[in-house]
Amino acid sequence: MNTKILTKSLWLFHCSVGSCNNCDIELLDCLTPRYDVERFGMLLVGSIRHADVIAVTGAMNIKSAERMKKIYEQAPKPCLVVACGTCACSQGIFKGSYSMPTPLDEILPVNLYIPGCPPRPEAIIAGIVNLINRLNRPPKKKRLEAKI
Amino acid sequence: MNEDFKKIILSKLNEFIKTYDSPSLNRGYIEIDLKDLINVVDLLYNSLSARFITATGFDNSKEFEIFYHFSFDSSNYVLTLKVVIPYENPVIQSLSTLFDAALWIEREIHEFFGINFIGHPDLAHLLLPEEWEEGNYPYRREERNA
Amino acid sequence: MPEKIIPIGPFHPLQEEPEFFKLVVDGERVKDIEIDIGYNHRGIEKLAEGKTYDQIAFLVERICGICSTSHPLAFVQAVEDAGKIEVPPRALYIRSIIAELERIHSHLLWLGLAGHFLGYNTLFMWSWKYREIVLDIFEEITGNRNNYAMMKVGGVRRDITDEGRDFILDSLKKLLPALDMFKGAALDDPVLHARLKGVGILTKEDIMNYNALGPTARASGVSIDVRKDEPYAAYDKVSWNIITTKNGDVFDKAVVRILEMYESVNIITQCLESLPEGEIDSKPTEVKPGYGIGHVEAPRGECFHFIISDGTNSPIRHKIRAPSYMNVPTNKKAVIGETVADATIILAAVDPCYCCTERMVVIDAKNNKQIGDANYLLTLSREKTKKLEKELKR
Repeated sequence: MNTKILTKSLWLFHCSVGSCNNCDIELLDCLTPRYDVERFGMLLVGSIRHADVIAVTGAMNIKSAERMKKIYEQAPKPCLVVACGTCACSQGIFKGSYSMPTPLDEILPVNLYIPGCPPRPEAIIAGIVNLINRLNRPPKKKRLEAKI
Repeated sequence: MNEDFKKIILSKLNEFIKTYDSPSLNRGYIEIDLKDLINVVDLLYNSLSARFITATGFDNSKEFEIFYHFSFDSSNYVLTLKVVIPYENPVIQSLSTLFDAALWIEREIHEFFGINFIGHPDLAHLLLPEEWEEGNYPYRREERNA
Repeated sequence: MPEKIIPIGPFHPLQEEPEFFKLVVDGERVKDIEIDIGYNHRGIEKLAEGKTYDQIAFLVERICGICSTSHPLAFVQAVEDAGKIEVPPRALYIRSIIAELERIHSHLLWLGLAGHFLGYNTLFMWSWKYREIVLDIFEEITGNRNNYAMMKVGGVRRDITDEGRDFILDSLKKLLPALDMFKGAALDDPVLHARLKGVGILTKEDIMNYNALGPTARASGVSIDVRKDEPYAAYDKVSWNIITTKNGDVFDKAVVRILEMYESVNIITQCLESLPEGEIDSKPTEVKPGYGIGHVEAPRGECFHFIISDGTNSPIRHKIRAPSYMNVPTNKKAVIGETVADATIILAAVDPCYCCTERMVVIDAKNNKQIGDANYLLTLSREKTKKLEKELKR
């Protein structure tokens, strides 16, 4: 899939699938005067059909998992998925709850994990920058072996 | 003022009280009979202008208990009514006939414990999905579910 | 004209959290509303039964990010009530300070979002900019911007140092001019007056019927506030007023919230000036069997926790009732009969917090025609503001 076209100005669609709100607020905070990611062309959009990136926050529950799948199907491809916050990465403190049987990455292909409870706006921005850098980089197949 | 107020409430509710306990100055716990619930709540809400806080369902492994919490804001007193519901026949009168604030919490207790509320307009799922397995009540004790 | 249905949600730009409203409209008027929740349900009450008292304080903190001090505070008060645990005076003062800082940050957040829904994005950016001052205070004294982890059974986890105290006082001095600006920007603006007055009215009877709480109730003239009714922490040791207004419309809800921020600044300053010396933790070792009730005034209203203890280190039942649980159903009363363009701001006026409520939809499109979505509503709302602006300029 050609993801190179996504490296300029990413438009974000934000999905809260059972979070405590903190990650959502910190994501919104990125848009406000102190952090202001709109400078770089990043925009929070209201419709999934305009989005390049889905930012998912929260540990997914049964009811929202169904919706999440539908939302992903509606997204124009290529579409990147960012798991924002510890809950989205690993279900965090809510692991083992009767209403949360599946973690996010078993349902969607996650491209980036941003841990933190909640991640600071700086961490979110750094994560997205990492993602863009990774898309720009030519694929290195032998990187793992080289490290060992 | 608080002590006087407590006496007024207790004298009004006297005929319904099975047990009464007041562990601290501004908390009271009263156990009443299942059939008296509507009368007592009507008295509290309409005559004594209590504010309904919420209800708590509880499964003590022998029977169900529902705690109805009421607050008397100006007198700084929180009164809790406890009713015991037999496990074999989990049915209780709905408070939604008295005030709309009971609508959601009764739906919630219905889906978590499987307790039926007589007179509730719509006991659909509130928090759990529509497809939730029938007869699986997450807040019942595990041995019950098995 | 046949009735049509506008679905809002569950994932939409209106609110950060998932919830689903179905507006049944006849032309411009809202005929009925269906509220469907459950998208945020995490089963926290059940999880709490398997955790110890110390762990639950962290768990309930994650019920809601905005009330991340109200829930732990209500919970520790419930445990203290069940276990008859004393709390040192210094800890009580610190609890009040943190709780009031949280109220300022929550009300600023709401003000910003309300501005956003109305197409008044300047207000959104301003209030979120000045919210950072409060978050900086939190970072300085607790170590984190959100999720402060300050409350524990028997006291608080961290002390406020002298430097911390000076920092808070300095920051509040910076915040006050900003609050004056918001007061002017929001309350003297003729467009906002025209847009918000007389919209989404809740009467005293509605408040009693739904047992609504917090600013929603106080805007309708019902003067309930746990801080006054059952003074916890240090609220009985400082002087402050309950803010109430009479009309119960969206404008009054905004007024109550803005004026409450001044009271909060006032409470924090008084608490810091009279902060007693001493321990911050009574280090309790056991919780006796019995019932415990703790309730606090969260930014949105009374937050209620009930625990049943059996004498072990974890409760056998933990009931949580968040303020939005009582406030959200009032939408049914407030929205019906209003125009579609006003629906967004009315739905937002109770400052709903679904994370709290669940501790929420999808349109059943079989026989209903879909005529728009949340974006469409938001656009409608903003267009109405612009129209009013033009009319007023003439």
